[in-house]
Amino acid sequence: MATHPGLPAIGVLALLLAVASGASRAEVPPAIGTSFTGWIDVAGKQVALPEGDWTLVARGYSRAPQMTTDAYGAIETVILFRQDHQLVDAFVAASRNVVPIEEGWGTANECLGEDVELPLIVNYDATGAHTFCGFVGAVRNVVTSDSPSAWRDAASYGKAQELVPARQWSMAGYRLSDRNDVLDVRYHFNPVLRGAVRGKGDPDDLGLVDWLESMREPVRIGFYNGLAGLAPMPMPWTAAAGGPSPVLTAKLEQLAALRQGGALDERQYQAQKALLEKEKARSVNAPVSNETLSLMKTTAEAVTAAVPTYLGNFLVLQDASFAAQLLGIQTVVDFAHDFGIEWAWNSYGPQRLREAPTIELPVAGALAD
Amino acid sequence: MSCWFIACLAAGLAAEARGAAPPAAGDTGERVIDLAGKQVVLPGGAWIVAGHGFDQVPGFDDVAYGAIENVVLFRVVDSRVAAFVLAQRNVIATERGWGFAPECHRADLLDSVVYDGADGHSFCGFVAQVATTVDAGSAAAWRSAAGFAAGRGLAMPATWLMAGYRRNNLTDTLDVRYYFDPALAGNPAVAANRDLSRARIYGASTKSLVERAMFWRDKPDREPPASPAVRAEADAVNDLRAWLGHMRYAIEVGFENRADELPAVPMPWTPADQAFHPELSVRLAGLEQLQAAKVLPPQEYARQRAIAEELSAPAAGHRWTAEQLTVVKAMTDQVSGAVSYFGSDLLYTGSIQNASQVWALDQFLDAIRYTSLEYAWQRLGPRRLTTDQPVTLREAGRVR
Repeated sequence: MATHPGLPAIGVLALLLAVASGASRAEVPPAIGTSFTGWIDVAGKQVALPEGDWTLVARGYSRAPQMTTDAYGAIETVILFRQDHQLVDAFVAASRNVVPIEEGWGTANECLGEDVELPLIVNYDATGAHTFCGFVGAVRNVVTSDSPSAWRDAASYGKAQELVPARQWSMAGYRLSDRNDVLDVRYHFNPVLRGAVRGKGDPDDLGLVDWLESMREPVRIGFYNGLAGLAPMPMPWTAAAGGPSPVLTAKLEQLAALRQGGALDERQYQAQKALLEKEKARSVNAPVSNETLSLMKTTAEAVTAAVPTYLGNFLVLQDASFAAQLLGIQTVVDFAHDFGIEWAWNSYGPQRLREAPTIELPVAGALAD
Repeated sequence: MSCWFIACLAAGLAAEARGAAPPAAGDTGERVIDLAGKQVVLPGGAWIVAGHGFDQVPGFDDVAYGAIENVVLFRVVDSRVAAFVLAQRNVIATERGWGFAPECHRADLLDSVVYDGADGHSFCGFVAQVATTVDAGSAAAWRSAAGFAAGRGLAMPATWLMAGYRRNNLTDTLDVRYYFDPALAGNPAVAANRDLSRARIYGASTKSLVERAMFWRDKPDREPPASPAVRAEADAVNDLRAWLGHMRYAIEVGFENRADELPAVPMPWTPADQAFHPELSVRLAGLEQLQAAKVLPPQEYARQRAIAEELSAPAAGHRWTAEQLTVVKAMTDQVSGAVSYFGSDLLYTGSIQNASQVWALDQFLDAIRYTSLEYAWQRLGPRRLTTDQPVTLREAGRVR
């Protein structure tokens, strides 16, 4: 698990012969101090690690206060350091539910941009119980008594090892969830790594915009435990980070293998290669809440109804003033009625909006203002 | 067993050993196969690779998915193919989703259940009878498998009972179909029957219409037979529908490459299937692990265990079209608004005649306006109904 196989991810077909019976998730979690390359398994999900050696420095369990009616076990959080001698270059904080649930994990405050102000938020998916977003922000290196136990333990580890952290980190984070599981992973980089290229790009986006988009794919692939064979992402602000992403490279290799094996002819190969090379990340708008949508629809109905209703009133009452007064009463009644009905359809109807509450998971440090 | 791109799970630990040779017909394995990076769970004992191939998806010319890789595995009993599995999967991850299987919404099949109807993330299961046919339109792996069976002198039944799944997300699709000789149900009447259609077993019904209109009602686990003469067939199909529900989670876990967490998967129509609840096994294993590590105190463990035991697989329900939803909402709007509108009109005009005229005119205009506005919201609004389209993959045999 710890070391990257480094083999091509061209999946053909493999037979897995299981001789063990029953559930067989690793019972003994790796010890603090263990080194990882490529990815780390957190409660059955792979968390992609950028290139280099990463040391597991803390693991902790906590509760998600908003999840009062779900049996999710606990939230497991791991923290890994990437070191250059005594300097902490970067660290990763990843959180994940231990037990799968059924009705989804809502979303993160950071995905909606509510309550937090971040330089960049991108929603890649926001459909029903499926959410996936990325965000960039600055994180202060603070530890308080309210901090998650994993972060406090990581700070203690750093102190014991006499490691030097950054006072403020540049963070690229992701929240990915489906009906069963949630994964929150945040990559924190020491700004000193940015070095000579500090001046490039928008100073407000911390120079992580392109890296955020490139890392999106390894994070998603890890959520489905498919990182075997995929080269790790380069660290941000390096020359390699500007090149083709490891995911695109792997896809092009897979395509070439299909052509070589006769599954694709030359025309098909060239057509798909061109499509791959111009493929862009999908992004969507942040989801509209039930209340907002109900209000939007009710307002639209009130506005569009005004003229025909007034004309109908005038036709019957033959008095412009009476017609207008009646319209006022009708609009109030109609607004209350339509909002109630719309909200009920959106909450309980057959195509109801699967509301995504914001679920706070443990984080390391504190977002800078 | 030849080892091509083979990973063997031993004592729960994956030891990967990969080669580059294509799959050889005759390879055997059990529990799980890995198909283009996704695990496909196999029920019961040993399965033999009978065919492997690649196909293209018609109409997917503007998507770089590589190809659809497919494989067929046989379960052979006494020179007869008692069951087979057809699994299909895209080789290269895409960006825009894989629609849904047409079978997800076919009311004429023996069963079809939508587990997740979210756009770009559809997951459904279905049960159907399938005729044994091989033609140019069949999946490449199935054409190979038919040759494999002929070469080895393996007999096949004329009709299969198939339980299948399509699990998609924005990047990948996995279609797994398990075909069983009806004789496995253990009833000679079922084995001899060539017509296992919904119409014959459950009778012609307006099930789909009723279900859509009464969307809040759960589907019955077991449907009654159309007549006593087809009771055995109805029981066999109901048992397979139950197996479909039990296997749902196993398919989902395989899609996430975590099949090693599953207990052994039973064949349908076996006593073991009655006690097979993989999602509960996985949940309880996780909770017990946390309790053993003292992460969960006993009280919290007991509370969460009770919740886990009550959970059942939710079916998202059949999706409504924009037209259906608009019509039903417009009717509800008219009915629910009638009294309050009339009351306010009466209150203001003080005349039943005037109030009636205003009310009738208003209702008429409102019906037109509401319907057109609602339809526009459903089609173009920020939470519009799904835009997923059906995606047909090649099959083994022909769904009747």
